[in-house]
Amino acid sequence: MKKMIQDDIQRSIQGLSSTFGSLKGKVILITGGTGFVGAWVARSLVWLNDELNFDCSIIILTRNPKKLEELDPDLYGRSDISFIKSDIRSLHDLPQDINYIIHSAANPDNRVHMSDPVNTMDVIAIGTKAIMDAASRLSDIKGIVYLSSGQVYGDAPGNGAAISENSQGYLLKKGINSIYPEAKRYSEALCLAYRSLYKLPVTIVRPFSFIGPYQELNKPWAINSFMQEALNGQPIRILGNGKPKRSYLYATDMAAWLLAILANGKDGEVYNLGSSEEVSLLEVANEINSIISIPVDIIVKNNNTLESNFIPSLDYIHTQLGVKENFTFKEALLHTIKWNVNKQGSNDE
Amino acid sequence: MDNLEVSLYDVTLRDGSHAIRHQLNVDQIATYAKLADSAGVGVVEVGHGIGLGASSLQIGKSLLSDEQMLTTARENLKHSLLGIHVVPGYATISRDISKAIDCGVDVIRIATQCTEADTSEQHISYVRGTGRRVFGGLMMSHMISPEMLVQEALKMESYGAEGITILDSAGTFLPADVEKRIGLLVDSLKVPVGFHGHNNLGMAIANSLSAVKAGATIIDGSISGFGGGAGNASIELLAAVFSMEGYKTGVDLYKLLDAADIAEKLFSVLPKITSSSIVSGMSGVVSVFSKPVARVAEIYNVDPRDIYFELGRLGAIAGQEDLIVEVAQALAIKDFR
Repeated sequence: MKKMIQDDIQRSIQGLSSTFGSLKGKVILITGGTGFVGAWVARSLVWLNDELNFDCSIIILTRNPKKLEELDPDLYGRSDISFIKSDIRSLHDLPQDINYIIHSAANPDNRVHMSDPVNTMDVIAIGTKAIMDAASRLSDIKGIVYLSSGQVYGDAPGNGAAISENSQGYLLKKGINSIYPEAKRYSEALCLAYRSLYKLPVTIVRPFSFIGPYQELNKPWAINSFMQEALNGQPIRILGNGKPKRSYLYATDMAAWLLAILANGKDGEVYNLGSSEEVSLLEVANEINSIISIPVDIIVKNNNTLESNFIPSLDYIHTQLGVKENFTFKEALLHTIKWNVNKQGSNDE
Repeated sequence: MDNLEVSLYDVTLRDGSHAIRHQLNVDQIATYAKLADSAGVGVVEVGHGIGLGASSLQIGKSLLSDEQMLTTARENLKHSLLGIHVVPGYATISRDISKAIDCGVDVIRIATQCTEADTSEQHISYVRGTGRRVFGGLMMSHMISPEMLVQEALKMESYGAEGITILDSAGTFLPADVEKRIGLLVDSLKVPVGFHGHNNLGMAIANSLSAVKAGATIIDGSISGFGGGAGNASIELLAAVFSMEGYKTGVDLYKLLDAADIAEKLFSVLPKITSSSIVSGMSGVVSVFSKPVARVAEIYNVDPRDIYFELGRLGAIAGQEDLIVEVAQALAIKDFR
């Protein structure tokens, strides 16, 4: 599996690495570095160090560094990675030599948003303020990437069109469902306020959906549930009609694009981050079945008639930063399932 | 007209446990499970009245263990799904739920007090991970506004619940109350909505009909209303009324009617509406308090109806049985003075 991961990082990054020169020898802080996005960025930076002698120093801000040890021991024990153990909300000063920040601390799990809405808003809003305050005191800060959310656009547009960065989201009013996106909206505005007042070079990224190794299957998103059910040999249950369309960017592409934004993104700009390859939930289930060794039943329960599409427009990031999807959905799914099958096998031993 | 299908969720062997102080025996479970299965009921829920893992001296000790009840039912169900009712706190994942799944449970309803949906997150997520069907239940649903009920239901949906049932645990709703709540839930949730009625005010059938007309597709009932307090909606009556209104339930009405005749002898005590249960419904006090209230009223020589109204004023919920004694003591002192 290690080889597959190294090969995938290489495939995603090799066409872009010549544009990453500004990151060489720099100190890069990743908040939320033990999460799916943060850890993948760290993995890609480590690859740049190992394969192309980038000599980056990586600092991971996390409440629990041991989490990374459990998740990925190879990453945890490296000499080019150090940790700041802190709750982001109580952060004051950062090491003065930090040049870049990827601020990805926030739990995207909507079960957590529902159960702990006040804390969810706190981490996003107060955490972002704490990191901006600390960044404003750094003497040589060259770039900050803030990971917002595609959810700031609100519900998917009725016409099924891809969502561009200029799409006008509307204020959400569904009570508890709006906690996370509204906190993200507030934090985007806060970043821009710090950019205006303290001249912080902040770039905003709006992530959509990703898949890849190291993503827990026990997450409340359809594709994760489908994979979990299929790998357990149980029927895949689609609660609706299977028609809503989503798109999934593979983890190594996601990390490579984030590094491209960090190195070359324009401050004050907003970039969508995701895949443009649309797949319906029924197609997702069928693709999973085509990959696993013993296909399972697919039950479409038709509990609702929703047909919404939630797909990012990637025109801007494609043209501005020259990034592209290196993995088709089918390849991304294949590699994700392979990794999980391997993990299941090692857990069974 | 797919939306005219209603799934009947038979709680006889769980809610009915309250009616006989949790003394369901092997013969009753085996006989009734077979009858319900043969009648084509969707889900047969089995266990202690409060739910899995709840058997205790304070709440009421079951005659049989959870495992005995579930394996007995499992052996007698061929088509109907075997369900359990789980209240987080009484049942734990490792001690109770995983064991119940090993007994062959198909459907697990994780129910919380209506303001505490967030306590169901771990349980719902766990069951989803096992591949079993998982529903959410919001008990005492009259205690918060319809709008707040939606917020709690959205939480359960986000955790992975594949359907959300609201429980009129105190039998206090009137049809318009049900219509408003179910309508809002159906508009707000992506998963099916269900209703569980109690008959304190004689409204269980009318309320259930109101629920399906507002879009609910899962309706709880028990044979001849065999359930806690004044009982549930009679499942044979639900089948009859829904059939008259053009809803498909998939059950064989004659077999269900026969089951009702047999149940009369099988369970010997069928619930009825009493003056206490009417007051319990009016005051919004949970139906399962009926037996402890009757007992405590006798001990302290106070009017049980006064106890209900005072408990209603205090907002008492299941698990706060100690309040019954406190209220009765206070009333006795007041009467004495």
